[in-house]
Order: sequence, then C-alpha cells, then structure tokens
Amino acid sequence: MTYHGYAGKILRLDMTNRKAVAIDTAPYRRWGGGHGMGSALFWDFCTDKTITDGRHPANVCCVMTSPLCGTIVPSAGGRCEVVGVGVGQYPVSWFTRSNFGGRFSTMLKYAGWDGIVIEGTADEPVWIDIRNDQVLFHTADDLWGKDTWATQQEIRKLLHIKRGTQAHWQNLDALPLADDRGYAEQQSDRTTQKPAILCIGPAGEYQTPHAALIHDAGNGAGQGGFGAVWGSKNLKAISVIGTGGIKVHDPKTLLRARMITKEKYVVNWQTPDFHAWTRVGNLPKPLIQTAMPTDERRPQACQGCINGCRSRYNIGYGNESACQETFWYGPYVRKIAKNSAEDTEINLKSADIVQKYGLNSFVLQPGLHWLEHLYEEGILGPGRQIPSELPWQSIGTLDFAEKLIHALSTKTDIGADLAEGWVQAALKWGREEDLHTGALQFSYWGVPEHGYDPRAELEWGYGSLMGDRDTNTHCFNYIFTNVSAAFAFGKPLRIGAEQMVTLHAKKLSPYAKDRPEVLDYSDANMYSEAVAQLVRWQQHYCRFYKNSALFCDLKWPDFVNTNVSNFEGATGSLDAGEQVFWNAVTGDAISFEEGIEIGRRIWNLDNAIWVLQGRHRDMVHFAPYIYKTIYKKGEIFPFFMWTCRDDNGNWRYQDLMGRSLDREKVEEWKSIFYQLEGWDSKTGWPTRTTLEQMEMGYVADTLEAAGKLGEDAS
Amino acid sequence: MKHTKHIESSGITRRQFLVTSSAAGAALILPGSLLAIPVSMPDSEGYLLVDLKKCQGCGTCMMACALAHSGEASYSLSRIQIQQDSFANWPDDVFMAICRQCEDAPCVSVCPVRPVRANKPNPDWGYARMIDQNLCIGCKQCLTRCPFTPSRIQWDALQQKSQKCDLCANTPYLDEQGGPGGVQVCARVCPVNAITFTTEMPEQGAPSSYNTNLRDSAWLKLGMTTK
Amino acid sequence: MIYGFALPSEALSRKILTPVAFKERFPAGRLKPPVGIIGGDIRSLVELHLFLEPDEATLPGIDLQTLPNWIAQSIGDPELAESIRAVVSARNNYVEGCQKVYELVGHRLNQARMVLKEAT
Repeated sequence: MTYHGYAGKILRLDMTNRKAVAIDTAPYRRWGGGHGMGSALFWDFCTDKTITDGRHPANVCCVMTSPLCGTIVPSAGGRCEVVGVGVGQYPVSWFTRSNFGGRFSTMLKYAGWDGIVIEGTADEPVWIDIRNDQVLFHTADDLWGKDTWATQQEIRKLLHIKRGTQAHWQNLDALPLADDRGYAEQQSDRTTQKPAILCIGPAGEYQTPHAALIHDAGNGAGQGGFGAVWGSKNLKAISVIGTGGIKVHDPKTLLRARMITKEKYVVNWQTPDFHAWTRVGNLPKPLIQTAMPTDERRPQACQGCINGCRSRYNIGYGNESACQETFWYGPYVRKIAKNSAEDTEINLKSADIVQKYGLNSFVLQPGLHWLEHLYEEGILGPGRQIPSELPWQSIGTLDFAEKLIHALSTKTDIGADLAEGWVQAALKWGREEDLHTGALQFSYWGVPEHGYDPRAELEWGYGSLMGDRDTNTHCFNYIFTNVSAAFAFGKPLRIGAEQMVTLHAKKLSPYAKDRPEVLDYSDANMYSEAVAQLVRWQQHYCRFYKNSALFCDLKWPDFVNTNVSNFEGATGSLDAGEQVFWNAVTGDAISFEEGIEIGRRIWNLDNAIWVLQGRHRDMVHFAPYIYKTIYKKGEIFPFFMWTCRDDNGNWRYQDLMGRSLDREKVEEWKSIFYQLEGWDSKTGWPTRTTLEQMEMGYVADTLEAAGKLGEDAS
Repeated sequence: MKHTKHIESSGITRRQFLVTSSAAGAALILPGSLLAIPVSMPDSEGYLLVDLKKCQGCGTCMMACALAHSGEASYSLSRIQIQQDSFANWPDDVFMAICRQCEDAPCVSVCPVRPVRANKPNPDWGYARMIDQNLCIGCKQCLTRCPFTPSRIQWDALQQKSQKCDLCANTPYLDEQGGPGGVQVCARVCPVNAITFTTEMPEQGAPSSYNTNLRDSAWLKLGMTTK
Repeated sequence: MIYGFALPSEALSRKILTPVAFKERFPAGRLKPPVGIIGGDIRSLVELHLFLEPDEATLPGIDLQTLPNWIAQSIGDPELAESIRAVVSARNNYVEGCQKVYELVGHRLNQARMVLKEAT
C-alpha cells in the first residue's frame, strides 16, 4: 500500500525494556495525524487513563507528525505535536498537548516514521538515536545534567557531525555508535543535513512543572510540562536523521497551490504592504518582543514555512528565540537597563537561559509579577514567611534571571514549593486570596493568563475552559490586535466591523456559516448560543487543522486578507485552502467542513479521556478573580477593541475592558455548549448517541464501564 | 555570444575500466587516458544565484525540487541543498549549495559512459548540464568529482543512479515549463526570494560568485541589512 | 517641541531620578501580537522613559489620563505633570500622546541629570 503523505509506520518505544517496535499507521489513518493520532494511540496504549500526573509511569507520551510534515504546505510542513498527561496543572493535570516547530517532524517523516509513542520508564538515563529504520538506545550518563543546547551539540559530536555548514554528504552507515546490524541493505543512503534532536534540559531532568522539550536553539513544546514527562521516563533526547522521502498524491496541485499562496495571498515584495491584515500572508516579521538588537540577521523558519517568525543574528545570543520568551523578564529589565540596547540584550540573554534550561517561560509572565509583589510586600525573601535566598533586590539583572531559572528548574529555593505547580504553591503559602484578587493571574487549570484576558476575549477564555490548558489559539485575536493598533495610531481601519464579521462568517462553516453574530462580544451576547458555536468551531477546527494536520497556529486560519482584492483569506478557499493541501498530499477528497468534522471526533475522544481522568462540569470554572474583579479599563492598555453590535444591531468596534464574567451566566453558557456538543449538560460527559454517531461506540463502552457515560437528553 | 571551451578531463583509474551493456545499447566506460582528450562543452544558458544572507532556512526549495522532479518530498533527492546550523550565527549559519552549471563541469568530463555521456550539456535545454537517467550506470564518478562541498551531485539510493540540477528541465510533476527560459521551482517557491536565475555566467574562478545580494528596500524595511 | 518648564531644583531632581516605593507603582502593559497584553508596573521616570521609547515591535500600554496625577503626587513633579496633561489633551491619537510624553519625560530627565551633575 502506498501511503501518500504518511511514512506508514509508527515507532513504539518501550523505555522499560529498551525495545523499539514498529506498528502500522493504517489503523490510525482515520484520525488524520498529529493530535488525533496521538489521542488514539494514547487511548490504545495507556493502560490507566485515570492518572492525573504526567510523571506517572503509566503515562504515554506521543510525539506526532502529520501527512503535511516534510512537505511544502505553507506553514504546516514543520510543526510537531506532543500529547500525553501533563504536569503541574490545577486541580489535576489533564491529558493535554503542545506543539513545536523546526526540523524534527520533517526528519522523522524522512526517517520513515509518522510518530513516536513513548511508554514506560527507563531504569537509567537514555537517549534515542533514530537513523531511518534503525533505532538505538544509548545510555545518557554523559548527557544528563547538560543544558538543551549542550546536549544537542554533544550528540552531534558523538555522531561525528560537523559543526557549522558546508558539510559533505554523509552516509548513514558511516555514522559511529551503530549496533552490529549494519546497513548492508541501505548502503548509500546519504544526507547533507544535521540530525534533528528533541531534548530536555535541567528543568525536565528534575521533573519540574512547565519543563519544556527543546529542539535546535529555539523550538519548544512548552505547555503541558512534557519536559517533566520525559524526565520521569529517564529520556534525555531523541535524535533522528532520515534520508527518505514522502510520496505525495498530487505533486502538481501541491506545487501550484503553494505558488498561489505566495503569489496571491502573501504580500508582494515589489510593492509591499507592511501593514496587511492577514495571517498567512505577511512578510517575515520577527515575533521578538523587544527592540531588534541588530539588523545583521536573517528570518529563520520552520520547514515549509512561508514567512519565518524567528531570527538568527550575528551577535551571539537570542538566536531563534521569538515571541514570549524574549520578554518574560521585560518588565523587570527595564527597571535597571540604562538604555534600549541593554534592555534588549538582557531580555534576549534571558531567553537563551530558559531555552537552555528547558523551562516554559510563559508561566513567569504573570508568575514573576506575583512573586515580585510577594517580595515587595515583605512576604517572600530571606527570613520571611516564604523563605527565599534569591537576590530579589537585583531583579532585572541577568544574574537574577539565571539564579531564578536555576532555582525553578532544579526545585531549589522557591522552586521547591513551586515544584507541583503555581496554584498549588499559592495554596501551600496561604495565598488563596491572590486567586480571588487577581494578584496571581492563573486563569484556568492552574496555568497563566495569556495576554488575551478571558473577560474581554471570549473565545480564548471559553476555549481554554472547555479544553485542557491555555488554548493558545490565535484564530481570531488579530481582530483585537489589528483594530486596537489602528485605533492607537489613529489610522483608518482597513476593514470595517460589519465587513470583518461578514468575511469571517463566510468561512465559519458548518456551525456558524453566515452567522456574523457569533463574533458579537458585547455584554448582551457574551453568554449566547452564538458565541458557543464560535467556540465549537474553533475547538474542532484546531483539533484537526492545527493540532492534527499541523497548520501553524500563527499563520492559520486566514479569514481576511487585504492582499486579495475582495479581502477573502486563504482559509477554506478552493485554490489554496487547508483542504486543498490536505487532499493534494494524501489523496483524500475531503471538504473543508469534513476536516472540521474529524476535529469534532478528536475533540470528543479528548473529552472522553478527560472524563476518565475525573472531569465533571463542576470542575470546569475560571479562577475566582475572573468572576470577582473587572478587567480594569485602560490600566494596562488603553482599549481592547472587538466587533460588537449596538442596541440598534449595527456593527462597530467597541472596547471590551471594564467587565468581569458572571459565574451563573458562565454556567448557563456551559450548558448550552454541552448541549450543542451532544454531551450531558448535567455532567459534561459525552453520550453514547453522540459517540456512536462518530463510530466511537468503543469509547462509549469504556465510559459506561467506568460509570461515566453521559445521559442522552430525553 | 555562445562560448565553447575545450576542457581537459582528468582520468579515472584503470580499475574503473568496465564495459556494461543494456537493452538500450552498449555503454562504454573509458579509461583515464582516453578521457583526457579535450571535451567540447558549450556554456550553460542559465545559472542559479543565491543570497546566503537572506535564506530563511525553511527548506521549501529542497522539498519543492524533489517534488517537481521525483513526485516526493525529500531532502536527499533535492538538487539544491540548504544546510544550517542552529547554533551558529548569521551569516555563517546557513549555506545554500546549488549546482553551478560549471563552465568546465568536471562532473561531465568525468562521466565514463560512451558513446554518449550520461552527464552532458543538453542542447535541448540551453546546455544545462544534465544526467540522463537512462544512461547513468551509477558509477558515482560524478559524485566524487564535483569539486564543491557538499557535492552538487545527488545519489538516488533507490534508483542507484546519480542526479543533478537541470534547472528544472525535467520536472514531470510541475505543470509549468521548466529549464532555462522556464521556471526554476526553487526560485519560484522561495518565500523570501533568496534564489534567482540568470543567463549571465558568473565568474568561474571565484568561490562566492554565485552568491549575490538579493536584498532590497523591502528587506531593509523589515529591519534587515542590505549590505 | 518647546519645553515650558524651568530647571528643577536639586531636591526635585533627586526625586525625578529616584524610583518610588512599590506601593506607589503605576500600572502599565505592553501589546505585541501574538503574545497579547503583558502587564508590568512603572516605578520611576527613568523606567517610564525607556518604557515609552518607540520601537517597531510593540506598543506601550498606559493610562495617559491618570499618568499626570501619578507624576504630580508620587514622583512629586507637578510642573512636568501639567505639561503632560497639556500634550495628552491636545494629542491626535494615543500613540502620538505616548511619543510626546516620552519626549517630555526625556527632557525632564536630562534637566535633572544636569542639575545634579552641576551640584556635584
């Protein structure tokens, strides 16, 4: 059988017995790839789905590619999905997910694998060496204790891989450390490429919550604490080098669609519009959160990306760091920096620190703010109620950053108390009030607020609440950023509110097609069935297209696009929509909506796992401050603009600051959401009818046996 | 104006003196002394140029190249090789290895297949140096003879034959015309336009003559140097 | 821009260059997609100046209406506060307001540094 888009087999790693087994991808084909396949594999191979701590030996961690990985599908070819039970959430750690970019998924596909299922626990540290079909377990004694960058460089050295570039073609059979199987049958498999390595740093080794998996200098799977999961399994790194390829069903269509994306949907280089309203169609703008350190740099991209969002510089630091990690320390650095250049330097070097330790810096965004308050209020510090010997008086310096990250990564100083999670530490320290006042802004599931406050940006908040983590799903929030920026500069709006919602609604099939009211976030509509449909669309779209097909969250969907004369974006389009690429690669003939239906199936399987872990609707609520305090108007940004209808039904952009969520109305909204999903609104559990409609009767059987099958509405 | 040069081919060892035959006819591998006879080699009518400071390392050109030629996405089957080291600094972190369509083309000179070389300037495609897969006997001489690192000749492990950049002349999976005068897939798909095509032969003696500055005012506006 | 305020006294100059107590901090944030709005406090005019320095990547988030009160009461510089109030009320848009405040604060910091330098 020819697997178009698929390598055709999945690697099971039995860490306990150091065995590698190949299984056929075909039985998991219906789940698409990535997250969907990972959830299905978890369902099949995790023997105890009641576990709520990812460090449990029964946990199964899947590192999954998609059929689109290793291909030229724009901003989809280079992502990789990780699933399993997470670490450090509150009240329990759910079956969850994370995602990272770079070269790893491409190399894994070219080595002949659609994914890796990591089971059991090794009795000592090991690293895995994958070279096409050959999978080797090596002891990691010499790697344990090294940071993520040193680990990767050491593995390269062990494999005799040249530093830098301009390397010769390398025969795989000439690499050292191979076992005695030899490579007689593959004698001339060659590559010029470096192995792709995914690894943990000290944070993962110490199994600290929020420990990340890091690949190359700056690709990280941050959320979920999968670094701690690997640490618990004594798995330091996986290195993969592949010399094969991936058969594509319709290469001509794939090439044509890629060129259409570049030439129609992306900003024209000759007459560039630097402020285009689009997601897939921007020029390579770096996501760095500080001032640019130098213009001597290049954009740096994941494989197949159409506009790289990172940079490599000539300055020796900050390479490949982008986005939040470049500003986790920002509010403190500016207290001591003499100028903008120093501010940038400390921030980028602090980014390097978290990359090397393998720690998800997002937790520090609101977390460090909280710790600073505790220090300034005399609660935390040397000899205080919460003892800490860290040099808090020098917060903002690079020295403090290093000491803080070291403590958090190695469970020393305050890191010891934070080792089970931040909300858990707050309760241990008697600081429950901080969850009520918002001093600790961890909005849901013991994880931090993202920067899109749930009281304003509803789909972000509701999506996180109904899911398993901070959703980190940027489907819609460029409405806020683009419109608010235009307001801030006093610039004319590229797209008016009514046109904006109309353009979106065209593409919100099947749940909200031509229903622009789903994007009405006004007080009058914020708990409505319409908003519930929007959240459903987002969750299902993402579970398939983003988390399973692995379209990049930062580039897709492309609802509106000012590079196109009618402003209609690439999403769902007939020339370069997501389904066009999927079908060209795989040979399927799915519609855009059928992709979303696969996403609904995956979402239901995830919910079934959460239910087995103990989820009930009574647990599904925001942190108290979301209900008890208002999102203060103008305090940290002058406005939070969004599409709303006024009393006369006219669309306009309106400021959403100045409100909180009403707990009872959120409960009513949840009931609506559960009903729309076909779940039992009393419990939030899936029903047999719903599951069987999706050919998931076996899931219903398991839930029923556990006494956790939802009741069908009478 | 078209230039035709007489190229000295260096020999291969006597050990490599082999005769093979196939259904298509006999192909002769000649010893070094015979290969030393000057070879007439018209210049290629097309060349790829790259900007090493601009490439974003997305590998799209590699995957698209393999896709257009072979119908599958692959690094190893790509006629253009992009190498990057995540732990190196700009501009030394990326290298773009393109076939230079050399004036003297050692890979052509060394091809031992006779009477018609498997690797030769193809007059139908602007004298691009192309390997005829039907004639290639898989001796790998061209792989090792290419003077550049990495070698600009790839080895197709499945077919057991050599392959090289043909400026997209032979791209059965591309629905546009390739080759000189047509589309070069790597240049066409490159998101940052770090690859371009020219009919002017770059200076042959200079190692960096195929590296050019393709950064423009838009690049500058994006906060990156054009120097 | 023409700056209408006089040189600060030596005592005021010290205040201008000194961070306020934690309890006197001024809330602020920063917007940069795709991270969103990142909170953080301001505790000195030096910090405020760096915070408002224009860059291509981010937008500062600050309440320009309440800022003059903070400068008057917590920093203790009513003259600067009044100048800021004037430019804020005359601004065409929020970003322009931030830029003008940035210039005013920068000028005031230079004045204070000069006064203290001369005093030593």
